[in-house]
Amino acid sequence: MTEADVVLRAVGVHVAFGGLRAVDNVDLEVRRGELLAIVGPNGAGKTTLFNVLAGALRPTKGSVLLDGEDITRQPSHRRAKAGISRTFQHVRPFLDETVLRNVAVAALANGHRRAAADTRAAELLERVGLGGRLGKRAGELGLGERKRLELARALALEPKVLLLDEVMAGLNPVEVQRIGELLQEIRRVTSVNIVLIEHLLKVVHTLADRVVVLDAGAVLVEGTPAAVFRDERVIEAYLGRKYAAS
Amino acid sequence: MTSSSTGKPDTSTGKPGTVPVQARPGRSGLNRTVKLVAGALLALVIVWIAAAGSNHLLGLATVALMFGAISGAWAMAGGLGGLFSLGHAAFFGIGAYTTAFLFAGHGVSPWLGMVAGVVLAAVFGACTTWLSVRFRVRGSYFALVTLAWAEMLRVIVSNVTPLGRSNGILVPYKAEPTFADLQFSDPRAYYALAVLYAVVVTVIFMVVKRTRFGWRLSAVRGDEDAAAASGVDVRRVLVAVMALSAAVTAAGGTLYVQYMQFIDPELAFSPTVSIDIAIRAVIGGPMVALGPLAGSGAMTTMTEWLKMSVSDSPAMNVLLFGVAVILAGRYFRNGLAGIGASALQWIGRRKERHDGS
Amino acid sequence: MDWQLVTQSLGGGILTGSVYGVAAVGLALVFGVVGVVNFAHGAMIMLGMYVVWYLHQWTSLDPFLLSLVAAVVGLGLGWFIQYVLVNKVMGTGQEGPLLVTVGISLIFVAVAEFVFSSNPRSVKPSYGDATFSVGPAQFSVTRLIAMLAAVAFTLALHNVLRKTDLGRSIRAVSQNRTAAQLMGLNVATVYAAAMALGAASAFFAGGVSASLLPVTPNAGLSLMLMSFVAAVLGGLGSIRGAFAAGIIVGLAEGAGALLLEGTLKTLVVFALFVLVLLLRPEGVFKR
Repeated sequence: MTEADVVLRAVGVHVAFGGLRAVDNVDLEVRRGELLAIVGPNGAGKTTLFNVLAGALRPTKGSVLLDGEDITRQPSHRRAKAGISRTFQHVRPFLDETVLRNVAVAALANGHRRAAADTRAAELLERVGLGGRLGKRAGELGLGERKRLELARALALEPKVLLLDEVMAGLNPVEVQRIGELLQEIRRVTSVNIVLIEHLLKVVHTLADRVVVLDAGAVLVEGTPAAVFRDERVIEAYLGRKYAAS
Repeated sequence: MTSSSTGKPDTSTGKPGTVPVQARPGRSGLNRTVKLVAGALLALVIVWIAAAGSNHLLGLATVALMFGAISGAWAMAGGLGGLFSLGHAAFFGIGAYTTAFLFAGHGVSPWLGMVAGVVLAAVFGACTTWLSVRFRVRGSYFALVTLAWAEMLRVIVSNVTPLGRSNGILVPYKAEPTFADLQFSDPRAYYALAVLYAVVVTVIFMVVKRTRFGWRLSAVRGDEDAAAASGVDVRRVLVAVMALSAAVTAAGGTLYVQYMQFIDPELAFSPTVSIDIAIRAVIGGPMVALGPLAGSGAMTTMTEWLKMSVSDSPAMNVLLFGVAVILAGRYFRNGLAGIGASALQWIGRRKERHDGS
Repeated sequence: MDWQLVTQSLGGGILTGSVYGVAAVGLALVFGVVGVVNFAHGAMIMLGMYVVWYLHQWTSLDPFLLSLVAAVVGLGLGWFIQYVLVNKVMGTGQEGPLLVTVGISLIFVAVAEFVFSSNPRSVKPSYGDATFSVGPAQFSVTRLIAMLAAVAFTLALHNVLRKTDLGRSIRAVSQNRTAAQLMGLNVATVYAAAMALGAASAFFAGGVSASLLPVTPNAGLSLMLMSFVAAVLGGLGSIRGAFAAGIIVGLAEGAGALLLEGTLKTLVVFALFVLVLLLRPEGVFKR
């Protein structure tokens, strides 16, 4: 593994809120072409780590590198332009705007003019299955549609790395399946690298190339899905000691 | 302000993928027609006042237009940008005082005074807003901080001798005014100037709303974190819109002081002025280009009517504003423009039903 | 430096500051519980002044005693305002409550102008000319009694919040709205009660000020700004903090009067205000 194979790297990231260590000395690398899943129990620091990667939160210690360049001090909007885009755990579309505008405003970041941004946004919305909703207000969409809208908005930045925070949470099995297929299609068509926070282990199994397990703010295990989910420490972290012992 | 976030899948509007892009073209066509009609009506009233109006009516219309346009400048920040300022008197006062000071004290043309005032106000607006944005002061606190900035200016100006302390500045009226003095013997000239100013402000408002800057601004108003994640520089957008709003407001201050030929700290900087500016936009509809002008026209008309038919106490005005603002806050968050839009939707729905049957 | 002047200014600052304090307590209470910045607070203070002025004209009773009557009026008015108007615009962002409270403020000022005209009025208690000395400085007895009244009212309010069922409900809602709702508290009623107490403190502060300042329809504005400063400085939502901060604001104003001439003294307070709003470490843009 050479340095050129790593797109995004976190080195020794610490985040402390008051006395609480939310993220504790985490090293993470996202390798070119892979889909990395981050799993872990609630409160393990997954979203906090995402916020550090996306620039919404400055780490107490440590640094973040994109293609070898230190971006630790770059604010969110600069990172969005530089190639890191994200979705939110609790979806945050611009509720009063049309579906089309929600995505088009992100497409502006690539220097598109308005017409080009609209065209680009319409293409992406078509791809995520919202092609028929362009003129609707985002506030009128259901949760599944909002999640896909955010995905399209994140893609509009033409990112190198796509950070997806529980993009399946709260969806019914049909919608989960649909987004899974969508992610696989995105990987086929573009060269984007995906980092996924996900609770549904089945989804992780089918989609991820590599899994990182966080527990209490630190990396517990990492490896292929099959290896990680057999690991006793992981079972213990997820299900508690009793199950592990029995 | 709407937020229907029932996380349930939407089934009421048909299957995805079947609704055409231009959802209901009839309504947007109707919308455009109504906007054109409203604009034409406004133009007609403006011309009629110039042609047939008494000097009293002309004076009322001039002030209503000036304050309506200043209110339009407010709405760029307070409406489009979501920065609810209760301190726009600061920018208005900077414009008025800079002009009056340079003209009365040093004989500098008010046009140059306007440029100086605009620059000063823009810088002041940019700096104060940068501070607020930097420290995440928003909503009611933003309103409070802006109120405090304007009060600070009021106190300072009341104590500066070259600015006339609390006596203010009397703008000398030249015996034979020229265009360069921004003074006219014919009241219709001031009126024309106010119309021109209102047109310029309206055009700027529309440009701001429709350009990429406006898209970004709108995203920031909706959700700052999501906007940042979409590559929008939130701080820059907010500072820029306030600087613009301040600059346009200051230009209005120049026109006002040349028209009234007098300014003092109360007329320029008092919270009453800030509230007046904000409220005309709130009542008319702060998200629509013609909203603030409509609000200003409505308020001036109502005030005059009350003066003639009920009581000529200045408190009448204040009372009316209070009632209107409560109604706007409680029922019509988009002001008169919002009422118009709802009426349109109602007509549209009726028409659809009619066409469908 | 003139020692007498220093004592006079700072002592006066403490006396005035206690009035700011009692006004700030109401603002902080409403903010802490309802989550609304009450822009009508100044108008409520002003109405309190007029209630006391009017009753004093009529009964010649002691104005500080009459301030209690003003507080009762405020109690009712505050309840009404919250129940009928502000509760209806809660949960739609900050703009709704902002507009409604600004509107209420405008209406109050207009009504005062109609009923009482804008001629300044004044209230003079029977001991209006008495003074007392602290070291080289001299203060009027009226101001001392105003301070004692402010302290007493704040303590009483503090006890209502600590010891009564109503107070416990109010504090429960301010600490955790959802939990309070689950426990069966009627949040709308609690909001109304909080606004009622907040308005009572505004009316009381106004009533007390009637003997100190000229009574005009716009008299509430500067008092409101001072109480805003104090409420923010005291940490918005803390009763004791707000009162203490009121005294700090009074002291700052006193210090300003030493350093700057005339009305410039208020600059010190505004500068303090902007600094506090901007620099509060936890930020104040959201609750």
